[in-house]
Amino acid sequence: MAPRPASETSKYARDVGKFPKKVSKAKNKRLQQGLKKVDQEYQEFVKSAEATDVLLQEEAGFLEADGPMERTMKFRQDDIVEAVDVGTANKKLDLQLTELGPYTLDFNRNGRKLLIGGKKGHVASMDWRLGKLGCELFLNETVNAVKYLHNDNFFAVAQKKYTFIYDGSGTELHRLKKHVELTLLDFLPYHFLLVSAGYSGMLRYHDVSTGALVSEIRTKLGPTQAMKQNPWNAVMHLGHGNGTVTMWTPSQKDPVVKIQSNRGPIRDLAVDREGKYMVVSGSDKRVKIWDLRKLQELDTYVIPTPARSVDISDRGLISVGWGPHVSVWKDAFKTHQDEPYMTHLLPSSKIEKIKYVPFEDVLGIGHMKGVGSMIVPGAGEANFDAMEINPYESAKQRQEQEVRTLLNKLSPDTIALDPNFIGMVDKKARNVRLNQTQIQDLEDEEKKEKERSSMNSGPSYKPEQTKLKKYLQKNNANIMDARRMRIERNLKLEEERKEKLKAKELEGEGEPDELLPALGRFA
Amino acid sequence: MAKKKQQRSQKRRSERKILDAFHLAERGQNGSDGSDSDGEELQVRDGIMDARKFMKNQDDDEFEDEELDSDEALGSDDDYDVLNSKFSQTIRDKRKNKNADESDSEYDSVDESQLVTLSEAWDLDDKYNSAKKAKSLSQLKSLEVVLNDDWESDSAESDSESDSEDNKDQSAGEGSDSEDDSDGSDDDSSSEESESEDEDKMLRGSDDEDEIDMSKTLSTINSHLKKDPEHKRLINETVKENEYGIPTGGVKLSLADMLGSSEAPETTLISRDLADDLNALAVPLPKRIQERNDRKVAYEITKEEVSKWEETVRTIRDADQLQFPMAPPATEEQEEVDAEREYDSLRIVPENDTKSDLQSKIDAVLRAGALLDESKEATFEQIAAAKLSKEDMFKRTQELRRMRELMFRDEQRAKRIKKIKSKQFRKIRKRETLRDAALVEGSDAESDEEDHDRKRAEERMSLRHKTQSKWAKSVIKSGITKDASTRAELEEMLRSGERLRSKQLGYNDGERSDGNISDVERDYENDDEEAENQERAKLGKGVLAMDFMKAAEERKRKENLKDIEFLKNMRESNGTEALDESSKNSINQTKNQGRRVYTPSAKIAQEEAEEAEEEALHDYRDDEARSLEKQMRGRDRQPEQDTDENEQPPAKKHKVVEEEFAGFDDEDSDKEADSKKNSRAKNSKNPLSSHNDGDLDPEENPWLTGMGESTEKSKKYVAITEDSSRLSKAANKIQKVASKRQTKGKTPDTYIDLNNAMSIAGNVQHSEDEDDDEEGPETRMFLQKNLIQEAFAGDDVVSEFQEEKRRIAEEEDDKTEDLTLPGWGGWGGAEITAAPKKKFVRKIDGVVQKDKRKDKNLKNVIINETLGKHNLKYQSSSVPYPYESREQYERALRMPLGEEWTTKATHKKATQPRVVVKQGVVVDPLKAPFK
Repeated sequence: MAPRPASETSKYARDVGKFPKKVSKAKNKRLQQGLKKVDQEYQEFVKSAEATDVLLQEEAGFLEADGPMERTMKFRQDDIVEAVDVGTANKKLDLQLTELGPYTLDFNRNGRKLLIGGKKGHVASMDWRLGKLGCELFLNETVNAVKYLHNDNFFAVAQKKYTFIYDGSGTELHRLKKHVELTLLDFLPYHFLLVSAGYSGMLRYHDVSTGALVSEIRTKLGPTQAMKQNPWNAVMHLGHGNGTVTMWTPSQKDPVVKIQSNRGPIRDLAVDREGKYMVVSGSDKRVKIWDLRKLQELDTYVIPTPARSVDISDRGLISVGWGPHVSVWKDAFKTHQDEPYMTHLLPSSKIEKIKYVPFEDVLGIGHMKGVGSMIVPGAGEANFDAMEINPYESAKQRQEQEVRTLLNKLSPDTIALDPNFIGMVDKKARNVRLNQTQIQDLEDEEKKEKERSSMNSGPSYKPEQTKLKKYLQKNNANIMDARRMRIERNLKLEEERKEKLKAKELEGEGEPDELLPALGRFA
Repeated sequence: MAKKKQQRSQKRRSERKILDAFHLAERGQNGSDGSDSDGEELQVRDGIMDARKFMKNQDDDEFEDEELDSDEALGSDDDYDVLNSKFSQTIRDKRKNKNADESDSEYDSVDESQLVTLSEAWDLDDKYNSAKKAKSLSQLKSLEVVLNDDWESDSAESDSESDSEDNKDQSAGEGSDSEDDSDGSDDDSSSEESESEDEDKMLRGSDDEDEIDMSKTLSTINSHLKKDPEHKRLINETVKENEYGIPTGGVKLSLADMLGSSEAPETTLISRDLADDLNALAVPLPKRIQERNDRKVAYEITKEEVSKWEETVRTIRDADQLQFPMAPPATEEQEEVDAEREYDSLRIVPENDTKSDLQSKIDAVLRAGALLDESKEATFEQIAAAKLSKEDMFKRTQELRRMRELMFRDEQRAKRIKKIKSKQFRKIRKRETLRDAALVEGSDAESDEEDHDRKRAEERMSLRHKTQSKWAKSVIKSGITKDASTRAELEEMLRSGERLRSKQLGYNDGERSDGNISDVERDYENDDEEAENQERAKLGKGVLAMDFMKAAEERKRKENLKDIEFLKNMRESNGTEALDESSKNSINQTKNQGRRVYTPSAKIAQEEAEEAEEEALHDYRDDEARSLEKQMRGRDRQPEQDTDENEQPPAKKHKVVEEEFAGFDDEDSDKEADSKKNSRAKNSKNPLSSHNDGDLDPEENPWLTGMGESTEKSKKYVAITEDSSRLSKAANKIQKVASKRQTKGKTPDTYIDLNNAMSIAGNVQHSEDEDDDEEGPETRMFLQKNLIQEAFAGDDVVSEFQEEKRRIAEEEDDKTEDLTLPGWGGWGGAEITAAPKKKFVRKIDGVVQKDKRKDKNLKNVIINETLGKHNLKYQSSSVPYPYESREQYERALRMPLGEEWTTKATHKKATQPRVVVKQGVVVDPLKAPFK
């Protein structure tokens, strides 16, 4: 077998396997030339894009055990902290916040800022690496979810009833009246959509750049248990009480895909960066891995207690938080793993939320007694695109990035299961282009067909107007006399009778009519 | 006033001309006869009249003001111009005035045909010398001729150079005379007489003074002159301008001319012969057919014309980008070529003589307007360059360019280096420069004599190289080891002394080594030098410049040298004894010190030497064994091998056999071989494993290496081939399996199969499939699982889901509607048998057919097949124009254009505009390239 060309195997290849290798022969010579040129350009693109890999200087590595006697899952965080360099060791974070209850957390897009939300109303935004507090709020109200918007200057907090938006210094900017009793928040950065779900079973999309509520969808599946976005196509994945996972776009009122994943209620789910895999944890103690391309279940892992939170790192490490444990699985998308890559225990606590820090080998853990972090070597993407998300951006760069992203904002209705649909030919359309005469012919034929079918499809007669109606129409002067009164009454009676007849006919469709239809009307 | 000035200048000019002419003539004469007395009394020398005499008569003072030397340019343009235009006019005017009072009628009657050349005029003069009237006429004529001559001289030099020049000069002189003194004509006439005589003499030649027939000479001259018609062309513009007077250019239309044209061959309208032959003319084609034919032909012509454009149009169509104004193709290529090719192209000297049309035109115009003065433009360099040949010139420019480039680079580099603040770097650099200096001292001492002398003087003065100095003595006295710095200084001193001594002896470092080294060695040395040079070249760059790196390199180099030495020895002694020798040598060297060495380093060195020896032996044997001959011998003559044992160490022999096996048998034997290899590896690790003598190592496990294999080997040599009996095959198989087991059992106990040992699985993170769970040993998990199943038993989510899926599939499927009306279209009655009722069914298209659903085969998935209206607006409703099918279109869309997904170059290329027009530039219509 001949080796496949680079344009097929490269990670920069597009639509692998969609098209035959050879350019199909076009009838038009010039078109053929053009197609060939485009194909060549594509090959060149792949090649040049591959060549840029040289520029990705950073390498990613994992923990490696010394021989088969040692297991990486047995490595303790203290040992790792001792072994790694100071810079990484400093990323180990441990905030003891025992009073204000289990903490949820969120990182901003470049991973510099940490937003924590204590159940009992403690919200704080901070630069977690410098230990610099941005703002701290004590809301005296239940906090269900916290979420950074497009940058760390805005964040949304789902409180007891309403959802609020605060700025970086903790000033309340908005109260979102429509978003009530929420437990889950997410943000689609390219569409500037704040997505919320909660007890009510409603899924709402709110455009934070214009302030308009884009879409409000009833899931009809009860309180939403879990919600995460698919970063690849911006489809929202919702987990429900009956063990289904549904995928939603703002433009469609029904879920685009509905999966029966677990038997018990879904606890949490996570979608990987490339939108290829989904990890779902349910109350039935199963953690399931789904292939989103084929919509097939890949693997199932059983966990002693239901996993409260799951997350997938940039480089495909799955972390599962269950009880006081965090276990990290490596290569779980490839083969079934016998044991986790790493484990971590938070004694006498309970994991509330775990989330990987973008571009870092760190897993943030929000738990009952505060917020901590865990060093997971090989978790983060080592090479970042500073034009896209820059972890080292300055204030100016952040502002410019904000403007740029606003300019590049995508419309909500571009969200679809296959984001490549834009610009393509409608699936219902013909596969080949027809010229004008052909189209004309087809139209004529269709018309004929229609006519024929209309002729065939039974009686197409104009219902005869009754004399009474005719009379009424004729003399529609606004004069009420005895005759007119009588006529109207008769008309009414006649209609009633007709309706009755119709009802009878519908009713007695099953059994044969004893009186034949001719006599039936007198009955 | 101005006019006067002009006249004067003109006079001066003519005087000059006369002078020049005289010089020229004189020169020519001197060429023929060098001894020529130029006495004052001799006004005429060999037919050349000295015109200076006349001038001296007239106004000497004026003449002497002039610089004779400066007037070399006789034919300079401005003279003619002036004569041509203004001055000639003034002369004419004057002449008019003069003639008006003297002889108006005569002058008027003079027509152009009567105008003759100067020589003729002189002839005439001879004839009518006495006649006064004629004199004035001749004067006039000569004047005319002068003008004519001047006028024409720029276009063509006459063939009789000296004649015409003389004529001209003299006539000019006459002209000036006539101008200046209109009354004093007698002198002139006399002078003219003599002139004409001179002229005659000259024409006759200087060899004989005899009388020759005048008429003959005249005729010859005439004939000679007539050959050149240009001399005859003389434009007389004395006639008043009127509408009938057309300038004839000196040619008169005669009657003969007019008649001459009528004598041309008969030109009748229709030739008589033809007219006799001709029948009636054919009927012309009907108009439309004629027109059609015309059109056809016209079309052909047009087609041909247009087809010339085809290539151009095609290239333009196919071009990715068009830039207007279009660059000429040559320059476009130049832009694309790389530097190397550009350099090559530079080496080919462009030819200057091939000027374009436009260029030559411009040149011509400039020259005509006297705007282009090449002499002024020529700078020094150009003049110098003109002397060089083309190649030399090119070489020189190249060199200059390179030098400039190098200088620039050096400057930049110096700037950069100057900026560096690192102390380390400075230190290294200083050392480097010192070393460089030392090198230069060593090599270039002879070349730089002055420096050398100075150095020498310095040395002599300082006497640093000798220990006789006071300081040195004191240092030695006080003990050398006292202070590090002083010690270093002293060492340096001694070193310099050593160097000087070696210099005195007269050899450099390179020469000192013996001339007996092998080529390899020499190469190596050369290489090293080169490498060093290179290193020096990139001074201060990177880690290589660091001291320790250099030291390491030096060490390595020494090692290599040692190796070379060793190899040389090997080659010479051709065997293992060399090894022994070398090892012995090395040991000897350590022991030669005369005392025992107890340091561990010595021991280590010894051990190392031994090891190296061993290795070398191994290699040697391997090499030997690998040779095909040996192998063949090993196979064919098994017993002979035993006899060969003296030659070959036994361990080696086994190895050879093993290798053979590995090649010969299938995979189990491969494994065997592997295990053996392992053992061998172990052996090699053990430094004592191989010996020179043929005995087996006592420490080696005989089970692993020795006997078993040899026996096995002999067994294995029962060849099993395709045609051997089944029984034997089976037996072989059994044997194989058995041996496999044996070998498995035999694997050394020292090995621990780690893969086997680690069979304990963690239970806490237990993760199994559901089946595994069921049969798993852990009852706790099993129970829990059951419990969970029980817990979720109530809501049977799966079946609910399946039900929903079925429902959706039904809903979205195509539906049919029965539109049959009872009794419609049928007849009622007693005799009517019930005709088969036609059913009216309408089909309603659903979202998707049941069996075409995407989730048809996915058990737990429902995929929504309804398409959102919103999504449709981002899609094309049909395949767009140039594409013929969906595949083509989508394939063309495959390449991303955005900057985020592609490289910058790709992005630029993909998004470049098709047409680029330079702003503010007039874009000319496309020119046909075939012109």
